[in-house]
Amino acid sequence: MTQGHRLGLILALVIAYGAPFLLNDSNLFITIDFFIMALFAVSYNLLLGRAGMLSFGHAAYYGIGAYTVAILFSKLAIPVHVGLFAAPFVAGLFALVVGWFAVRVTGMYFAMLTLAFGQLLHTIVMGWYSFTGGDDGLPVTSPDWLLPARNYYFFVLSVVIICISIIWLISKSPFGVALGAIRENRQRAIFVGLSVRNFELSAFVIAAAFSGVAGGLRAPMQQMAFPSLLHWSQSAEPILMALAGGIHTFFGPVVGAALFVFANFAITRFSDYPLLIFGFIILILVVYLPGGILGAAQEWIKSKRGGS
Amino acid sequence: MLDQILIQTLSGVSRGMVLFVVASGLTLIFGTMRIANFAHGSFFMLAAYLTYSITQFVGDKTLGLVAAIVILPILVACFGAAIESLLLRRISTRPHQYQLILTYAITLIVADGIKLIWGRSYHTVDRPAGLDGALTILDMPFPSYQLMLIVVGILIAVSLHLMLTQTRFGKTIRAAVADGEMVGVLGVNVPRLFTGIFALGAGLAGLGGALAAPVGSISLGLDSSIIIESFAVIIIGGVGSVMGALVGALLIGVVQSIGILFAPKIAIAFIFLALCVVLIFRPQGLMGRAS
Repeated sequence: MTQGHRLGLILALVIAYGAPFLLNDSNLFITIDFFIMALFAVSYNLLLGRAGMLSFGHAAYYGIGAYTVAILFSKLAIPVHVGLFAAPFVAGLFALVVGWFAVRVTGMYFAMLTLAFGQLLHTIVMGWYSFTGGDDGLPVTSPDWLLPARNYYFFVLSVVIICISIIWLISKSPFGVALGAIRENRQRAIFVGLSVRNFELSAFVIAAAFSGVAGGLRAPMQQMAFPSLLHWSQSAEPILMALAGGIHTFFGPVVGAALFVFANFAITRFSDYPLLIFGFIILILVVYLPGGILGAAQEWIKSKRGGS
Repeated sequence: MLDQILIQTLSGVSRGMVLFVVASGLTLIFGTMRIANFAHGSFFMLAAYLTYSITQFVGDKTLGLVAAIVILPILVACFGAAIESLLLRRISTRPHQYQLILTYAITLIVADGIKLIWGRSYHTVDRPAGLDGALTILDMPFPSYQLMLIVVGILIAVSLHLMLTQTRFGKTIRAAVADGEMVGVLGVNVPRLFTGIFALGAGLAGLGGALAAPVGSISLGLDSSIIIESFAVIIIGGVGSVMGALVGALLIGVVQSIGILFAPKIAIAFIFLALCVVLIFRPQGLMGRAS
């Protein structure tokens, strides 16, 4: 990290922690939404950007995180901030089982298999009325100290910063470097003796665990855990965010999450057909901006420096 | 109980036949171009809605459906060819996730486009004269249209098989499934071949949509249910194998129909169970070749 990066990071933190004193409640909620999606996208990008694994069923672990908090609250009366600690472990456990099968295949096969497993989990949550509440969802109530929007904002922001920092450390660790080697050349990684499947399985579980935290933060915000949190259309969101922001940059998914959450808020205000507009935005991004927004920005800065 | 299971099996075969028509297109695209084409479900849904409009426009339910079954495969094939040559080809050298996301963007556009044109309410298409009743099999009524679907499905399977084994285009497709690079080296115009395959696949999805329109109701969400099932079919059957798609589709159709008999709420879970079993014992799919 350079001096400039550090300054930028400190500035971002000051703005993030100062914002609640300037924003109204409705804007606070959208910003909380953004933080949660940022964590979801960054954790997901450990798979897509770092390890080159395209999972299309990641919403399952996000949803399981939400249901962990909701079920612990409604069945055992465990408060949400305590239940949140269980979310990554439960999500990770499910990912361990699914991943054990899924890492046996690669590429598009892996994408379709994770998609199928994700839908399986979605079906179970939908169908198991007595335990999950089926499509009625499961209500969640925050304790009094978390109810005010501003308090919840600080809570979510802090949890998200801690989690993203851990993901940062993981992706810069030897483990993260090994994942990059697998992405670049799987065959070579096998030849130099990396147990590729174990690395991929670990990445899958870690990414799922942090997605579980994101889901666990989502449930108290909406005061509900819904089956749609596990649905495959939800799985597309972190992929789109990561690709839009730039999968080969660490903070790209954060930029992508900001774009999607705030643009979605703006578009749904004036259009009944937001997906139509979103579809075209994605189409243009994919065709013309393959490196994502942050990736393109880095290229541009590099070319400027190189030119002068 | 036993005759109930037999009837459900027959109904599952009928369901599986529609699924086969759609999934066979998907497996050809996936097997040659290595694109997990999400838009395939949208092609199917679009064709189902267009079938509704065509039958409304023609006025006669038999003639209308026949017109839809003739026109829509061609129309949807053209739509597919346009998407392939205008969009997918531009990013053909990039990692596959970009192509997948591109086709996903198309599903969003088509879904909201359909909502814009046809509205949120569901539509139904009448069954054609002579096929709107039910036959009695094992003392139980069975819709004759669904019986016709089984016959049509077999015909399509046979013609697809003949096309793949007897025509030059078909042989080139099979060669591209086996070794895509080699086909290019041997002088085949690969971009044109891919456009052709994508159009063929889209056309099959369109045909499936037209055939399925009179069964059940036409509603938003049709795209995601068929695409998930089709993905399951081609994993079970083996990527690139049309016969595998037939086996996989029939398996899924029957498993699901019998599942409805025992556990209606989670019938769809049986698909994934079948998928897991196949993947444990035969990861390359039932008819797929181990790589």
